[in-house]
Amino acid sequence: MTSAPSTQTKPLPILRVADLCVDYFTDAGRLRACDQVSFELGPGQRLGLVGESGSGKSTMALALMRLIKPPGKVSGRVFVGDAELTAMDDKAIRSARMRLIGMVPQAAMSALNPVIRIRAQIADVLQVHEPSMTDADVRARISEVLEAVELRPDVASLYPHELSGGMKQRVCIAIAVALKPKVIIADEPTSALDVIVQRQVMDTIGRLQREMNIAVILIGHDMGLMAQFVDRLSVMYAGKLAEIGPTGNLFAAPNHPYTHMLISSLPTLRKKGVFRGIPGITPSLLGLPSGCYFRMRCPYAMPICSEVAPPQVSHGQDHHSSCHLANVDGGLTSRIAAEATSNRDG
Amino acid sequence: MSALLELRNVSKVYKSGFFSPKVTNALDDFSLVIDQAKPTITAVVGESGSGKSTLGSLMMGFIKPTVGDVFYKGRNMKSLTGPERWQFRQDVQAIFQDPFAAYNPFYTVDHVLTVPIRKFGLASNREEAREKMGDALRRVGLRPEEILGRYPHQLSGGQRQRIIVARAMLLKPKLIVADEPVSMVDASLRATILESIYTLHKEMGVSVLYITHDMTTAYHVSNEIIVLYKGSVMEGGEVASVVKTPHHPYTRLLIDSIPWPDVSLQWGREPIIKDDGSSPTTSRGCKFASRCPHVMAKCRDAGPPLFAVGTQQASACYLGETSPALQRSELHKVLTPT
Amino acid sequence: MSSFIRYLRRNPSLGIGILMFTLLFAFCVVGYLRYDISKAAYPLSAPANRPPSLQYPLGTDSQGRELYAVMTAGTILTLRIGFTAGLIGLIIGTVLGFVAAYFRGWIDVLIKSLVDILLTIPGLLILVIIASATRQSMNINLLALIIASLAWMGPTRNIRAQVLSLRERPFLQAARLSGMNSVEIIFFELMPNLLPYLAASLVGSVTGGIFASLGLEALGLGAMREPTLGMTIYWVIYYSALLKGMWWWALAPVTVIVVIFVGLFSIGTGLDELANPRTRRIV
Repeated sequence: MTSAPSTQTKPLPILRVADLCVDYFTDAGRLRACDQVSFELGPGQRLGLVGESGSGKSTMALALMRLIKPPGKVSGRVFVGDAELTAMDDKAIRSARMRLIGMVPQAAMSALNPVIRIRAQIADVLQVHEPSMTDADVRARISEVLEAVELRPDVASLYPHELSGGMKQRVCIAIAVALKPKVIIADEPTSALDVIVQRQVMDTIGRLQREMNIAVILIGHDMGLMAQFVDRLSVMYAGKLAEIGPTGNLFAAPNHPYTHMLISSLPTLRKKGVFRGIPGITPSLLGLPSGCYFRMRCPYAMPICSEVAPPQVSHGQDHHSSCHLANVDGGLTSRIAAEATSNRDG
Repeated sequence: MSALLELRNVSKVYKSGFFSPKVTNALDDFSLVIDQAKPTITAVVGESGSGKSTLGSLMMGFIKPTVGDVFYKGRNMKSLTGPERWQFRQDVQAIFQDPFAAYNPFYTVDHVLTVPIRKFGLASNREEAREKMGDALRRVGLRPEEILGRYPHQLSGGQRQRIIVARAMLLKPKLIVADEPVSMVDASLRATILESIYTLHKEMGVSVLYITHDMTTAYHVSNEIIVLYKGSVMEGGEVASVVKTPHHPYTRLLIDSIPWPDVSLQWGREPIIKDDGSSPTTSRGCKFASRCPHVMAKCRDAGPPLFAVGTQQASACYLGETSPALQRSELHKVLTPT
Repeated sequence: MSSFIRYLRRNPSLGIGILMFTLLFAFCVVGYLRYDISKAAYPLSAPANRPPSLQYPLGTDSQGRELYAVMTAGTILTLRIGFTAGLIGLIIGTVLGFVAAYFRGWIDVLIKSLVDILLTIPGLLILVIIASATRQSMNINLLALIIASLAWMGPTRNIRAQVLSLRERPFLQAARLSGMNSVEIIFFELMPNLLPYLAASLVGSVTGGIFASLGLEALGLGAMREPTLGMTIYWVIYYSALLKGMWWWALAPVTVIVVIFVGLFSIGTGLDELANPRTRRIV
């Protein structure tokens, strides 16, 4: 279920990312894992971030939490509410993490400490980021948070290996919301889970999100999951934000060829037996092509695509894409329509 | 009907622990016939613990059934002679889940292609071998000059998986067991790899057993489908009927939980009931009884037989008991009309 | 060559180890050039109890041996014992480990039980008993064999563990599907992946072998007539060299032993780095 519809006047964004760049300085040269990423997230909104391996989505998540270590370097600005995360010193950011912005990292359930009970792992987060909490407060919060993720309170005295995959993932979600942050980043929270358990865990995240009015960034590669869960969807390719906008719009009328081809390659109930993969492979971040990064695989590439990097163009209603086709009459939509007619006739 | 591979009432039981052994029925009374004359793509769908990987291993001859028999061209696998075993190896091949682990990191990627060529005598000299390798790689959309001579860690996951498909093409087997071939591959490349597998089937008449947890790709690529849960068949039949009109409560739950990439198809209409642990894999009753919203008393007493609820659909659920009953060993009748 | 030097900068342990052995090698070469080892390393070839001087660079001992010659001969002999014992132990261990881990079943149970039982028996005790029993006919090769007889258990265990972990990897299934049989799989698929590990194990084995030989010889159970490092220590104790102020006699073998062990240890650490996940993927 999606969250409440947006009102006419836009509420102040709870998360604002401006020109975020993450560079890695390696022996082989400078590698730009994240290139000028900018977006906003309203309170209680759900944003999906889709991309394949090497697209930079996990790097961006780490950058938002200021967890990028040298030889990586982050530039740009990140705001949660009024607090500017990128301008904080080490002590301040450590206190801000998990309190203002929480994270369920990738493969979190495998990262639970196998020799420590669940209650100690949740308590650890509380005590590090909010040292003023008393023991009684900590105990109360642990029960509160386990209940919020629909786990029995006695789970607190168990060890991770005594829990199923879905339960472990819920514990990780509980840890992320323990300090009631305003924003949560969930990086592939359900990739190792079975389909039915996945639905249950996503339902839990959705319910938590509505109850606590937390904004959620869901990172993944499963477009289907995005279609079911997020209000707005963004697509990353080779470190750049290719397109961002309301989920329905992206699926119905995408403005970037990569988004369009990604969606067409997915199997749905309607088209059986039609395979439309994207030819070619993702370019290496050390040898990016000139102009648009996607042009080598793009069937709609024009001469300008190899010379000039595409600008970000707005399509109204918070929908932006970086493609030269946006400045051409009819844009991507007419190209796709033309293809469809020629396929019918040809 | 000549059967290439037949599983007859096969069960695989694992016992673990020395003092209080825990018994797990990985696969329970499973029967299937893979026809030689009519190649098909059969999807076996299930979650973890469903027994689908065990089924794959059984069909590849890596493990032996605890109960029941596996027949290769009418001969029991336990009593195959050397040459027959060799023929079996040529006829039944596999595509693996992990595109990296399928390669020996010590050798270049050529190794996975040159070894079977050499062993099965597919080429008489080096040039012919190189030519065949080049052809197979081109068929899956790769350029041989970019691939040959490289090490596995120098190529992307999609490329590695395509080489594995090319390897299967080279060997021209009669049956390919594909265990989660695209689950570890990027979304945009999945369609390409599935297309290669589909081409293998269409152009070379190879039967494919497509094992997966992903119903969407199963629907996309296969003709028929078998749904497994805790080692037992819950439902089986022609894939469009099963996916669009599922009969068994488990299938309904599974399909309802699929995140279709379609904003108009919302998930979550079927309620999910917590498993109360009353139907372990060793229970005599229906394995799904502990989670079923329509459970009846008789479900816990004895597992239901297959009921033919449609012309090409069978469901192991008492809800369909008005339809004619089938033996488990007759599952294949519902999958391919004779 | 230059890429090797660059690698050594990333792996300083290996560099130190190679340096140590190069120094030892140079030391021994000079020794062989200067002396007739067959005479100078044995008693009554030089005046006894002389401190180090230009004529006798490392001094002489109470039985009239030139210590430089003794060190030259001793280094070679001790390394030979260690290497023989270590190599035999490793070969036995590799064969048994592979067979146990690859074939599993009763043969695995048999080998594993044997190894576990034998490992509980204190090795030194057994060695002392065997060595005392064969005292009269003790020579270098016999000593090496005795040590090897108890050196194979460790490698068996380690290699079995490594093969067990590799065994489930899909590339072995792929090899099976490609028509390879068990022997071919062991030699062409498993073994190459274990070569770095085997090399590191060899260093460990050799170190253990040298340790054992030094221990036995210092107790007087070695080959009495041979000028090995351990025997030199035995004589140092026997003749109470330190009480008599003959510090050079004790210093020489101790220094050489330290250099050998530092060298072996460094090479071992260096090879460990090689054996470790460089073959892991970077996706």
